[in-house]
Amino acid sequence: MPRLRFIGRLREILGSELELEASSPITLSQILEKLPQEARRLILAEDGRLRVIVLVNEKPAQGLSQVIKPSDVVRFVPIVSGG
Amino acid sequence: MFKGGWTGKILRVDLTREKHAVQDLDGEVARSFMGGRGLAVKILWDELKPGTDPLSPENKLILATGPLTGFALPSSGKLVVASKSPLTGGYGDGNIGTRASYQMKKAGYDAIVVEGRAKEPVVLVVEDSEIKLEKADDLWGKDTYTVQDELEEKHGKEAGILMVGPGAEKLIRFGVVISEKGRAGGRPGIGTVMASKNLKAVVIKGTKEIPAYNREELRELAAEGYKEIKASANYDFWVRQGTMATIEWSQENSVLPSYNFREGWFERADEISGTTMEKVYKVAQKGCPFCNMQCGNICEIKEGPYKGWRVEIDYENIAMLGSNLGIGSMDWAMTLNLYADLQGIDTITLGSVLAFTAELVEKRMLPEDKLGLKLRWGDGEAMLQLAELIAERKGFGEKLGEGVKALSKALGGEWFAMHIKGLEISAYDCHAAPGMALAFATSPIGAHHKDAWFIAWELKIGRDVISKEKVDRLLEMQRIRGGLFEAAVACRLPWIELGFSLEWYPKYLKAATGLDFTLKELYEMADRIYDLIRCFWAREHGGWSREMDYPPERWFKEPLTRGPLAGSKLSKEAYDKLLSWYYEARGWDSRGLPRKSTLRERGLGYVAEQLEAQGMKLEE
Repeated sequence: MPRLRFIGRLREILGSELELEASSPITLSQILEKLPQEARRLILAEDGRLRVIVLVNEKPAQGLSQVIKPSDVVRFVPIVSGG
Repeated sequence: MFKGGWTGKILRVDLTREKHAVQDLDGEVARSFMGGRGLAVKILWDELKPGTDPLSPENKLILATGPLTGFALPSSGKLVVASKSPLTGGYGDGNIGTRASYQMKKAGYDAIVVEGRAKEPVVLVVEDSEIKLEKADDLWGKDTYTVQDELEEKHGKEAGILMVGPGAEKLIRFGVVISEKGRAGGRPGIGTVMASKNLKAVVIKGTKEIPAYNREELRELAAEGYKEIKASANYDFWVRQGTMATIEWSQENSVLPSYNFREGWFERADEISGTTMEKVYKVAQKGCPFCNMQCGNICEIKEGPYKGWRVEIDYENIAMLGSNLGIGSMDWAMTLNLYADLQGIDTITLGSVLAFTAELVEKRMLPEDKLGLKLRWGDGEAMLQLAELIAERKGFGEKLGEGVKALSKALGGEWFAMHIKGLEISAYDCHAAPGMALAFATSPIGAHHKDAWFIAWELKIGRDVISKEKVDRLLEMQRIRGGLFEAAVACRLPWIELGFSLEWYPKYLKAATGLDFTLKELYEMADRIYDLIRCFWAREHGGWSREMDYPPERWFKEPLTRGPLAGSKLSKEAYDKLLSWYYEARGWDSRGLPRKSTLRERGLGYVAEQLEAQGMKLEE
């Protein structure tokens, strides 16, 4: 079951961690489909571009078709600039 | 010559002679350097005698707007303050969101250049073409909140007001220019330069209409831009937390500076987070002129000697005066922030100086009896006492007011003195971020985040990736943040935080000025500005070496011990690779100096000739 971790606005919507019920590998795109619309809108732009940085086991995700294994940790990191 | 955007005029003020003049802005200079930082470095290069003492009357204080300033456009209410820095000895600048920006344009000026030194403290009052110097004996020594109130009462609430605080008056090397209670700019001591001229404040009021090439189109484009910003998915969260959301972000990514950048993770981060701020401390919202995504978090201090006071906070201040000092109390971090604002001293450098001193004490390199107080990590009260000694230049505070670089040269500990080129590093730890370290190290004013925020892009590329692609992305970021935004003088936050498209800016520039700029041309302008700033540094330092572009030894030497990235540190070999690729991509030689061919290509052939005439050998 992959673990999803969130910060910022996404954390407010989904909590800081979410364990997905998926015993077999699924794609990142399939994971996003399981999230509520409000969260998806923060993650994906209308043109399909990622609005946030997605890290799979701390490595940048290789696109929405990347297969996520049950043991993976996926972090969703918004782009911020800090002042 | 100008069809709009620029007023085409620069106000020159000589405080020694008590004279002023209005100079035409050269059209070619405007096209090549635009305004803000670009115009400032051009003036400093052309007019400042090499080797000028930054605190002498001969140094110039430049207040510069850009062609977008003053129009009702997204985030165009800023101005740049610039000078030769008394902290670094190189080029220094900063930007401030302030009413003074649009008032300067309405008064009919793109920039105000101040030189000389007044015989006694003065306020420069600019009301359209009427220029006056008013006595400021009654304001000298007063804190910046009081001075804002008194000047507003005298000149009206709409007046644009820039000032220095008592700390800058005492010539602490990291005095900033302050506006509207807590709006600060010019970290490399630009406020100190202003104070050294006995210039307590500048008050600007204008009544003219800012010239525009196509006012109607500008209005329509602005309306569309505002709408796009407001429609952003993250808009509401941004307005609620602003940059303070970055505390949590930095903690999660192990870049939150803690204990003088010894760590990138802080055990009490939750207590100083954006969420804690929102729930407990935030009482009002504040923004720059023309901004519809205001990020100023006005908070009320609940405990301590400044209980009940209000202070505007953001990420850098709270990280540097909180976690970096081991302080997990929002009240104490805000108290230190407020104190620095009242005194007109830079919050980031203050945080670094206090942290460096605490570490000297911890390592028994500085006896506490010499310091005159007991200083421990996390002790807000002791940190405030030390900040008071610094601001008043009393006792050991006298030395601390010179900044971390000078302090480490005098007392040792250079390997953990967290500065680059003399400017203390802003709040991102780089033990596990080589690209961000390079960004800080090649920032044109020293280690400031304004030009150097690369960390999120680096996460996207991969923190451990060492590649030319990473360097190319850094250059792209510098062209946008340090070039386009600092020369047009517009805020970077709509773009970076809410995804506001960069394609708007050529459109805004066209409607404002009538000139066509492609993004490619704007990036070429950015490179010209970076080259000239590098040449200015080299001229003032009598040469250059690549060590000037190195981050502090700590990040190479001592791995992180806390958080998920414990064990990480920078590799010197990898860093050197990145630096060499960076020089190559910029057309600079292996020392970090622009090549003659690069300077010619950027229209800076005369700069190469002048450097060589002074005995500096440049490579072809």
